[in-house]
Amino acid sequence: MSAELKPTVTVSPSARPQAALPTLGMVRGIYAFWRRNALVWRSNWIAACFAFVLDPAVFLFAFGYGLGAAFTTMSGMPYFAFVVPGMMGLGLLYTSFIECSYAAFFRMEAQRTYHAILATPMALGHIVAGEILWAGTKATLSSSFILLVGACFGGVLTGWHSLLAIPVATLTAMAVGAMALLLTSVSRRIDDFNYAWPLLVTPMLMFSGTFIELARFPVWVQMVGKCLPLYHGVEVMRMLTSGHNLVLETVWAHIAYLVAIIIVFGALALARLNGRIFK
Amino acid sequence: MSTTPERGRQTMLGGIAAIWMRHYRVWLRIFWPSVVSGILNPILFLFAFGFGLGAVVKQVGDISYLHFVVPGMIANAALFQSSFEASIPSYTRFRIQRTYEAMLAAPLFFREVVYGEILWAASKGVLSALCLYLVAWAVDGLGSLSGALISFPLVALSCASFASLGLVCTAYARTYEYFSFFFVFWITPSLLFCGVFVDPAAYPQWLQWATWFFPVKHLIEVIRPLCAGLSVDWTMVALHMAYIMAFMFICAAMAARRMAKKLFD
Amino acid sequence: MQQTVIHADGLRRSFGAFEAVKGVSFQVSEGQFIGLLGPNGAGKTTTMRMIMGMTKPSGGTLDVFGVPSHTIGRGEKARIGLVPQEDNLDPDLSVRQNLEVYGTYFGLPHDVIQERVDTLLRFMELSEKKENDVRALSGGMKRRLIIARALIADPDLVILDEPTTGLDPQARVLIWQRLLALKSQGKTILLTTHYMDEAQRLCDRIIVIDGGRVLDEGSPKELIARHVEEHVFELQKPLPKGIEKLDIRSEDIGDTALFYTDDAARLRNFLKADMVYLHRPANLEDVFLKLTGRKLREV
Ligand SMILES: Nc1ncnc2c1ncn2[C@@H]1O[C@H](COP(=O)(O)OP(=O)(O)O)[C@@H](O)[C@H]1O
Ligand SMILES: [Mg+2]
Repeated sequence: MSAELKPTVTVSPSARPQAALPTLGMVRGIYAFWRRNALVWRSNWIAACFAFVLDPAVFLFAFGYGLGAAFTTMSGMPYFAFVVPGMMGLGLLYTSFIECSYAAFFRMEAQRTYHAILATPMALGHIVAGEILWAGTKATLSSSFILLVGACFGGVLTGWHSLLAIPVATLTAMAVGAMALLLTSVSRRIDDFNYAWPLLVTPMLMFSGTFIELARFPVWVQMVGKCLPLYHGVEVMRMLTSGHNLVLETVWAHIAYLVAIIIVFGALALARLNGRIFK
Repeated sequence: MSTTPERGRQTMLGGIAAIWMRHYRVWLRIFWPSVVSGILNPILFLFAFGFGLGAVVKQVGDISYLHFVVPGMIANAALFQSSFEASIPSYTRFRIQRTYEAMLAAPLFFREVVYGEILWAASKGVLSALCLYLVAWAVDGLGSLSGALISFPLVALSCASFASLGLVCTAYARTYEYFSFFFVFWITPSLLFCGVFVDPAAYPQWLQWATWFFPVKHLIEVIRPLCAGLSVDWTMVALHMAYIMAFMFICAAMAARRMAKKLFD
Repeated sequence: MQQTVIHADGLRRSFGAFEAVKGVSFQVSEGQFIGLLGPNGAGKTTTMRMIMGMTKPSGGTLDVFGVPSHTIGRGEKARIGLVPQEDNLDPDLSVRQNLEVYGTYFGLPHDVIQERVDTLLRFMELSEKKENDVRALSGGMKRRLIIARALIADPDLVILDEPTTGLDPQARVLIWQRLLALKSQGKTILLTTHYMDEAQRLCDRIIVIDGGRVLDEGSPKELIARHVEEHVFELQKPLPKGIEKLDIRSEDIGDTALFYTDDAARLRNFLKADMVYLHRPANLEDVFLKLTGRKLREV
């Protein structure tokens, strides 16, 4: 009937081995957060994959057919070859933006996951880097799938080195993710992300040469487009998948820009989140 | 007790109105983000497609590309706003915040909660469509103003249909991830294959047939000639609208059944 | 003659193969303060949901205001105020708006709502917080707001599901005072709790349930008299030698043992003067321990 309540065993401090104290390096910290997101994702991966893998592939099909009928060639290549890296950009844009905005905000505010994690030896920097890296990971899956589909239907004009477009997609997604995370850090409500669609996401989608080349727009639009990270990512991916205008120095310049965006926006997001969480 | 307490008198319409008003009050708090994105986003789309596609596709059938794309965008905005509002936000109220349970502890019936939810989501779609009508009118994108006026109530009616489908997803979803299906099988095909931006004639025949499942395709078929000022076959309009309404009744019934099961079992 | 507000007879409810409520019968009359006392998983919430018509009984009868519970309509619901176990305040609205909007669900006229809201905010001591976001409220304030919300239509029957669980002592005392004030206004109150002191302090009558069954019911005094001896001695282990020879009913609760007796002098004489022990009158907790056993409950 009555269960014994056992007294807890207490160990004197001297008996506790010092080596057992955890030390958490930067890489392990970031990995720990990344892994947490990956575990959550894995439990629902079929449903989750649907949106960000299949959806851009459907876009590829739709634009290939629909716009392909209107534009036969663009930027000196068949329209379908033009649009494959563009759709890789669309896939990574949506995946990464949503992950670092709505999903991150939900984790931070509704689930209080950040607060729970910060009660451990993890630092906020681990969380920020982990979020950005995770967004990059998801987006990589999405972009790789589009590259595969594109290649199957003859949308990739180069050989194996078109695979180098995949790490570029990762990097671009991380740049978008860092920008989205900065938005998250300053949003009071989830509805504040409504502003991001007309002010950030739609311009990136439309004016980064994703499915219509930037040169067709007025000069001021081109200038706006060139500031956005997606433009640089799509440019490099297009060089790698089509072989057109492939100049190594230009590639490195675009990549340097992406890295700079990741560092600057990641640092800003970290600073803002720091002020917000430890207020 | 000294006096008989005032308990109020609730009616079906009153109940639906009370739920609608609750959503409206919440929405007033986020008025600016909603309106800014509701107006600015379609302007960007119009601009991008006008420049990009319009420069190449000058004419679709008998109408200019602008007159072609405007009704498509109106229908798409109505579709997106109303069915989205009944999806993730409704799910949050239903499963996370348990708002429905609080409502049901008051003298409201379950069906009023469902109708109120659909009505609200449809209202958001109507507002979004209205923004687009205004933008389109400003850029001279409406071929016939009277036709556009006639099309407006039809768009509004369709919003209830779009919202009902969103609510079906809310009723069946187990986690937020399930809304992936909503986007892949509903939002994206509605946007891409139902003739919003490009003439669906470009797509393979089987796809053109399959997309008649989507009510937005019927709506575009109805309002495109109306807004462009072309001649209209009213029997076909009636048939398309009948499909849209049937879609609504089936979805609303499915959603209500499933939600009742989750709430009361 | 007092009217019967709730009448349950052989009430059952199963979830699949598992029967959460296994034939519960009780009655609640107008103006009574009734406590439904039971550990976690006893079936309290399930019973309350059946009373609200939110879950159909799978057997037995349950009448609320003379109407079978699963058919209760607007008229009956308007007379009930529910404080659910889980917080379902509207997080998108402010404190004041939560009450106002809830009033509109009852179809109350605007001026009545405004007046009630002010009164209730004062009654629940939330006036300073009225413009706050509900997310910013402490646990105790949230509970008070939910109680205020339940009172918006001036109900005859107030149903509270564990209203004080997890609150600090001050917050609990405030809620107790308010509940007693409601009772003095003539409202019928049905409260579930797993705190014995709360039930003992507030309730006219207590229904002890566990495992979906009613174990016993009566006023706190009756229950104590029926089930346990008058005096309780709490002794730290190790127990003095020879105490078992006194043949006193005892309960072992880990490092302490409880001895129940009507003859306090006899036990006190046995215990040596230098021993540390606690001598107290028996309370509802002892009844509860005896009736429900001391198994560890689901956590
Ligand atoms: N919807 C449900 N499905 C399955 N089991 C349930 C459901 N609701 C309650 N139960 C089970 O019924 C029992 C009684 O639950 P409940 O009435 O919530 O207990 P209490 O409120 O007394 O803590 C518990 O064992 C619980 O797990
Ligand atoms: Mg309970």
